[in-house]
Amino acid sequence: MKPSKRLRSSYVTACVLITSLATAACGMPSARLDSPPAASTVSPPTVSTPEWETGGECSGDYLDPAEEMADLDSWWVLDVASATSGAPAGNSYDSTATHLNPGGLSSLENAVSPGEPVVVSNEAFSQLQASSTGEGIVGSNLSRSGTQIVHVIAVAAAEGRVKFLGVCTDRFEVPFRLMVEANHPTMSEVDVLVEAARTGDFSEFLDSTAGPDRQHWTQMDPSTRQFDIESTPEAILKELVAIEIEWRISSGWSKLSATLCGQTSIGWNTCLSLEAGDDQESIVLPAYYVPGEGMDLWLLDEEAAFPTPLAQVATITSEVLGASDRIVVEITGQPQTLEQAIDLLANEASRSEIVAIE
Amino acid sequence: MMPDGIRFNSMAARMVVGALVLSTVLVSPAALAFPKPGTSGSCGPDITYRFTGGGWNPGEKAAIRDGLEDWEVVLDFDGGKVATVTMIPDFGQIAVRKVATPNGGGVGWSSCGQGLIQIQEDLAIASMESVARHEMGHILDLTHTGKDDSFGGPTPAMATCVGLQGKAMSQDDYGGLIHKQTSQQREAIHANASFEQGTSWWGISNIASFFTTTANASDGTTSARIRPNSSTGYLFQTMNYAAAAGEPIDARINIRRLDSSHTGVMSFNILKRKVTYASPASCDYPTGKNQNVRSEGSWVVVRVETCTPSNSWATCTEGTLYTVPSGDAHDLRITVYSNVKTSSGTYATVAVDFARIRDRS
Repeated sequence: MKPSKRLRSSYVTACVLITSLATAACGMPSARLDSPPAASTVSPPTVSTPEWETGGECSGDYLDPAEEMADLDSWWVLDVASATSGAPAGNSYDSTATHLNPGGLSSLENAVSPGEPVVVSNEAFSQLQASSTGEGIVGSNLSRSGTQIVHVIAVAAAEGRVKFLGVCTDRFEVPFRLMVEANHPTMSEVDVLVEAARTGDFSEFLDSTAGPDRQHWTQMDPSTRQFDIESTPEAILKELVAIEIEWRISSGWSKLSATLCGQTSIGWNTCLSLEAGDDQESIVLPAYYVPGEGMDLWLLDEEAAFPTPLAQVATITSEVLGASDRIVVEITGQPQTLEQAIDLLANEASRSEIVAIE
Repeated sequence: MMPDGIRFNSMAARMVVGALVLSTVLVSPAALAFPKPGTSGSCGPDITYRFTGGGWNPGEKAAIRDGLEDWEVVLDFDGGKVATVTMIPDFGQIAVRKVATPNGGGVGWSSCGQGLIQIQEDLAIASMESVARHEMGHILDLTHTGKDDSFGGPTPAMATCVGLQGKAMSQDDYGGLIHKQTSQQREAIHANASFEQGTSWWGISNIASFFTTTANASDGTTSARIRPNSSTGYLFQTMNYAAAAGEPIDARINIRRLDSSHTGVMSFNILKRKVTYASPASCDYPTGKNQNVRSEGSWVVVRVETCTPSNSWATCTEGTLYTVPSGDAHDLRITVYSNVKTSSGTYATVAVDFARIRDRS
């Protein structure tokens, strides 16, 4: 297939990184792809809508996308301009020339067809970043292995972006993009991907797709973290004093969509939905406090968003906390709305009338 | 306690098959960890399978059998298997086939409706076992989970977009299968709600003694005994059950005191926390969210119930349904307290069985 005039007129219109299980080493500068893959081993993509796409979602069971990429034996860099421009000087990447014709499935077929071995230079990639458009290439059912069927295709799109092609490729694209933004804010996605392919080091991508590790409790902001049996270190909980808070909430308050939470200097206690008190005379919950310190009680929204408490309900002094194993907090009154409740609590006089601590 | 439903292996249920286990899942926006059942079709809890196609070697078949039949380890509230997975040469309902490229382009694919499991042929044997386990989960009507198990255990078998190594049956797999296939009208959303699998997946805080026993269970063959250190001690289980928005839940436990001289009450709470999954889509979830990347909100007690145990087993049921808020998903937790004391004033050991949050939709 001959490249179109439009393609020929552009030094680099699109670049496709294709992986397969071909024998060539993965983009190593010293390794040449002497023998292009045999066309007979390539299965043309299916044109009709695959049955497994009819549900409107990405289907199939996948490995971690980064592992899939990292485990591949080779990356081929395919440069549409190579047929007309020849091998640029300053070779950096082994590649296979192909006449990529953006806009059709046939381009994929061609992409893994025999072509001239060429090398794409760093310079070519830099131009690619400025001028390429990889849009319009559609792939489906792009895996597999044991053969030389295309497995993953990454297209260097406009402005240095990388677009993965094929089925469900957002599973590659999104974590890759997030990784680049986080780790290489000054680099283009193309550069990052090419470098990973060249060195075979996908560790950053692997880390990014694993998702952020849960932050250790001790590293969280004390003003927004919560004591939790499953995440707070046992050693910390042991340093705290465990008590019970008996909440007595009037029916007026229990109609509100809000929560009550106790805050200490190092974390919040488990919160109580006002709604839970609707059919209860009282509710007893365990709570922790820091020895020698008091505890602030707050009204929060129904999700208990700690950064944005709605109003302070009361402060339980250290003296009161130290005097008993059970603190009774009684909230009376009949606020009709959450706003009214906040107003009541905002006024010290009305707050002292409706909140009692024993 | 007797089951209040029917097993989901009726002919009618078997006929409720989706065209594809994976691709036809259409669940409400917050259904993530193990979504509401009945939306994707199921081959029922009793599966037979056969190997088909050529190229098998004994090692591969053995590994795949291990993976497929691993689901039999999940026990129901009555101590029986929730699902059976049996190989019947030539006649099994699900054909297991090695292919170069499974449908969908991944490492495995399954369809209850087509009676087919495809496994990528060039995988390592250990990986084939992992894929087989995962695909059988789909045949049993489970959808994908996130990579983090609710109990901090191994990566769930039903996780996707993760490496195959290290995946194993986890709390979420157990809980998902129980929720989908048990005879309790698929209400219970817990793994090991009735302690048939010992103390697995139950945690304790300030509890002096927690064990299970086969003596005098209220259902099945085992029940639990707890003795708190103080009134703040509790037994708990957390689950990444991302109930659908607007879905009503409640909780119920079976309780009993061990001596008529013991006095006091037992209570249980339902807690929830909002969980936000990353967007835009990255992995394969019906909601377009990446369940492998999540952030968690604050734990909030949303329901409380208190009962007085007697000398015989009795159920203690939350009196008011809790409707899961709309928006993102929520983790759920059940906590069980006791302030039952002996005549001398020390905390007494009490019996607990079938402690669970229920999906009441």
